[in-house]
Amino acid sequence: MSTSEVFMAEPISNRSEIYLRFSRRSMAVVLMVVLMLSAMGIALTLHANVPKTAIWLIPIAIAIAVVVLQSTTRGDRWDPESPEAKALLNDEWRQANLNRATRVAFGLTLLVQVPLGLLFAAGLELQVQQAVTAMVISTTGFGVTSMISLFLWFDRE
Amino acid sequence: MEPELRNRIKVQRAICDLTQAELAEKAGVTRKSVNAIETGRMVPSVLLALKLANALGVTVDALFTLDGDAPK
Repeated sequence: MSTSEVFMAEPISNRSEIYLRFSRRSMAVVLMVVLMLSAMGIALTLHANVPKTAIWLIPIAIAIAVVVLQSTTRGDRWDPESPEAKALLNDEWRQANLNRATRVAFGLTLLVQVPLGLLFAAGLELQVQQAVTAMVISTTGFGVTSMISLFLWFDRE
Repeated sequence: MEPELRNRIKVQRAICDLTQAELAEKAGVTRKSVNAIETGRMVPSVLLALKLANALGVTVDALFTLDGDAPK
């Protein structure tokens, strides 16, 4: 039997759990990628001498993450039309957790603006362009990572 | 004082001999949603309450009551 046949032979409840696990791991991967991109962006903004070869770590890390994620679904592809996928996407508990995570992350991101602004504008004595770029990258990175982290926390078992 | 929502999903599940996962599959939701409703962490929408009631073969009134109401 191929891996797809093995997957389809699983009881539906098991397939739902597999999809759920895949979804959570996908979000964890996105979290890691955003963290890496933000860190790289801040490093390049603050120090132009960061080795450009370090940038290649990101696609390598993404490729490794994709391989790991594929192992979660046992080689089968995510099918958005399957009943398990629809149950996952329309799930009220997950939607409530996502809404709550978004609200809290928004508030936290607003709160963190003042210390970040003080850090980049006054603390590190950066040029205006550097300070603005650093603020943009850190605000976006903080917002997205806090939202994903909070969702994974609220949606935990 | 705000009335509290009570549910008898676990009891009805036991009567129907269904696991949370099996009930979730019948209702078209994830097992986590069923667990969250059973443990009182989530108040379901009317649509979800109807789906759960249909899946268990009972009415919504039989599944959900307000604190202090007699079970039907």
